[in-house]
Amino acid sequence: MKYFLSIYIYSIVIMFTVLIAPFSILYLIFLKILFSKRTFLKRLRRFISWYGIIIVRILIFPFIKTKFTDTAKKEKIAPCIFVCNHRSSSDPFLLSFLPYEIIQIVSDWPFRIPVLGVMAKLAGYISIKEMKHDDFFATAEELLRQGVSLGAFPEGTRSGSNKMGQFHGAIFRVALKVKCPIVPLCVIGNENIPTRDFILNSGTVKMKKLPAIYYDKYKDTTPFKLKNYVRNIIIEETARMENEA
Amino acid sequence: MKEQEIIDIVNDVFEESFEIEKEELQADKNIFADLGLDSLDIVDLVVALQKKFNVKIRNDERIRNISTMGDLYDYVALLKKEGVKPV
Repeated sequence: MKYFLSIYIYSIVIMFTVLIAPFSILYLIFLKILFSKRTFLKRLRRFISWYGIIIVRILIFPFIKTKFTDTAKKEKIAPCIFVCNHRSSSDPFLLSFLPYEIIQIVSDWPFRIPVLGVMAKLAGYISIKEMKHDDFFATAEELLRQGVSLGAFPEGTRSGSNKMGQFHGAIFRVALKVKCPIVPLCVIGNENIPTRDFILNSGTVKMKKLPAIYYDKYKDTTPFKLKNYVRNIIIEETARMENEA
Repeated sequence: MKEQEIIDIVNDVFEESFEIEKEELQADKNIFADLGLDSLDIVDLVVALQKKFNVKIRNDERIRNISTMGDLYDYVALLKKEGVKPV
């Protein structure tokens, strides 16, 4: 059954990607010719979000259900840093739920995925492993100053379980410098969707967006304490979500 | 400087710089996996150690081999033995 599900979902996602590829290329050319670089990037990032939404909302349904809860809808948070726990390679797709212009900070492997990798690169996604610290800080700060939010998975690598790894602090150093809100995101249910071997299982994946942590709240802390403060918030909330499930 | 004295001072650095509880600071604890420091925190740690022990260790390659608190205690003890030049 699990192999059937994997074959079915990967096939349908590949078919969908191949089908929209020519339109995507035309759309990108259209954007590139008619709009400024800033508008081009903004629309491209929105386009990637819609692509993700179609996958997580429609194509994988009803075998994999996704549920998104925003606990602070009225907050004006952008540009901000979204900090998410990282159980599986499906996490980046879930950030499509967020209605903001977002750049994801990822490892190097997503850039090697055909089509998606090229789109991510064009949209300016940050491959943190391929960057020096100073270049990363400069790029992240510049994006936030332009009004672009950042999506980060500070564990660095997917846990594949409900345990959370230690956080890397680079993104929290950026927050302290730029003084932007930090928004914790909690994801449960996708520890095996897919597994580390990319086998898909059926299930329900839940993502919860928590209230923002504003600069006034964390301004007197160090990067080390800040990363652990946010990590503890996510640990507590994911445990609560698991108990409710 | 006695071994226990070095351990106490290193532990003080961790408590002051990272607010890690004393009970967590055991020789077998991994600085990264157990205590949660990352490469950038190590830079902060080195600065704090330099200040505390009045030594210059920023460019010492041996820092890269430190992974547990025990390694760190041994390293500082070695520095003291070698009489590393003060800052």
